Amino acid sequence: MIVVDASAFLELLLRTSTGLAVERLLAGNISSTPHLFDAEVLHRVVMFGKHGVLETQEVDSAVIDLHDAPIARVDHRPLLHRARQLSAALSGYDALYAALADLSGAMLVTGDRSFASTARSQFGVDVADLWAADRS
Amino acid sequence: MLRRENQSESQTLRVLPAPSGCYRHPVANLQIKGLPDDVHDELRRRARIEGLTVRAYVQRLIEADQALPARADWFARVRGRRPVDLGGAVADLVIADRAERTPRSRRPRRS
Repeated sequence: MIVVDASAFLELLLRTSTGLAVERLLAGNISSTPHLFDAEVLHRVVMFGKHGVLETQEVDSAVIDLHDAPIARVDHRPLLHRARQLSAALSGYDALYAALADLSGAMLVTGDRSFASTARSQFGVDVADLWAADRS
Repeated sequence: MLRRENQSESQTLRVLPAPSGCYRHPVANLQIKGLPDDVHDELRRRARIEGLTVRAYVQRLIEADQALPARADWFARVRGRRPVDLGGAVADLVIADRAERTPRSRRPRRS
């Protein structure tokens, strides 16, 4: 089981090398994410459209892909207390993703190296290594 | 066809033939053999919580599953997307987006 954050999913949508690693994990695991994920991915995709990174049609299809993504969305409320504890070293946003991974015993998949490092080293969260290929 | 008093032509009730052949229509039945006891117990528990029969609960699960594309179809669609090179990690932009949600003028100041 994995928890996917917005940065990881956006890498997948943009078909980057990191995104290909995210895709492999998503294809082989049951996936979940807090509802925050939809807001963060939607906003970033919209901004890509406004800044010309994506064409209008690509923004539209990205929103469809976001909607249809085989990732279960989880309510924030059961995560809040654990997220509060994790917010000692994480933003409230990241703390929600980390709390879901921690409470469900899932592996966290993020495209944010700093978040990955902190979640792993300070809270013992199992974090996917998306950058192994970069090092080899 | 029956027509009630004061009823227009368009409101005419159409009485269909008795469903004498309804059992001749194919109705799919699904049986799951070898379901582990703990899975079955949890299935029954969840159906009971929702106030549904197991059959209705499972049907709802299947309908929810089919409301989205098959996983393989979704992955095939995503693989068809145009690669975009931002020259850096998307995570930096997501973090910047979060910061922008609080305009500078409304950020709390330390006294």
